Amino acid sequence: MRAAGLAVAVCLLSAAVLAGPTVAGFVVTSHRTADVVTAPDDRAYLGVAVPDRTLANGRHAAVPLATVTNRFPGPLTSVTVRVRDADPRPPRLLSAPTWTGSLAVGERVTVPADVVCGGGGGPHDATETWTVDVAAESPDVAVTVTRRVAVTCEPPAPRGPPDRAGGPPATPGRGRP
Amino acid sequence: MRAAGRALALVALVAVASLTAGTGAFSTVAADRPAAVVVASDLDGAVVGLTPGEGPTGAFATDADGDGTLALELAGDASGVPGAGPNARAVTTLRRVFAITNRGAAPVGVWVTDDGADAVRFLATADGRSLESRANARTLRPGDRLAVTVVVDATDVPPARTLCSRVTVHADAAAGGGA
Repeated sequence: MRAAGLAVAVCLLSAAVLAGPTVAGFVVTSHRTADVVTAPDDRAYLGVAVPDRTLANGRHAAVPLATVTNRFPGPLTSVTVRVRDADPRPPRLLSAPTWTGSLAVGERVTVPADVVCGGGGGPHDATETWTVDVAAESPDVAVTVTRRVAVTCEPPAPRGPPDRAGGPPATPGRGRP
Repeated sequence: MRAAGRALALVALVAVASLTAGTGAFSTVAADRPAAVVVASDLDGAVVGLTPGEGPTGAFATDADGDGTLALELAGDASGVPGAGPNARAVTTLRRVFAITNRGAAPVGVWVTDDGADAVRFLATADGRSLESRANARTLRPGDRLAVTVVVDATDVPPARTLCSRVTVHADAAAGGGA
């Protein structure tokens, strides 16, 4: 009988101890592992590729300037990609390309731009650095990225090989048939 | 008498077993009564619950080890996340990554700290206010759940740089009287 009473007492004591922190007056400090490491654009949550471009003299339509990939765990409901060119000299954008849309997980978009090289009295082999702004959002995610892309205009190719037949030199400005 | 003794031994064993169950979740517990040690899973048993967020970003908070403790994983090992980490030289905001729940019977103040520099910040998802430092403790009444946003400000940080390796969630009943 005494043993049974003792058993009940032990049970009551255990219950009281287990219930302890559910009443007032406690401090809990929970240390948890975290692994937060930055990633390069080609593997990061927001994939951004802005390869440098070298273009021949002339006008170029739909030059792919930036590719954006969604590597987050959920869809991006609003993505805006904007390319800016602050210098009016060649190479220059014929219009400021902007793309706005959404990207599912794993989906990517390439933003093209119309570019002109040469003309305007500037040097033909000029290089400019343009700015690419990417802003992506969803109810759970927001990220902003600014990158630079170098665009170079190549000098014009030589007009043709020199005349090896020994004839008279070609008249400048006329070209060959 | 022998039967009673066996019964007593059995009850004592059960009591001891119940007191030692679920070790591994809280690293330290201080209470205002002797030997008030309660250790349980973050996910379902602890007085202060830590659980993954309810949206897609909950994938960044995992119990990959299966030991009942939550871990913040923003480095490419999170299941269901195609990317390898937050972009270098960018600002990434991840809302509702994990939640803190008061499963106790009294209000408690909670806040979050980490061992990194200012590059990683913790905010309350509902209002965007900081949760860092005791001065920013948020009161959770019994049953309240607080969604946490993680901001990675890597504006001047190159790739492959570790920004944070430990997060600490503090809960203090004495800090639970405020807003």
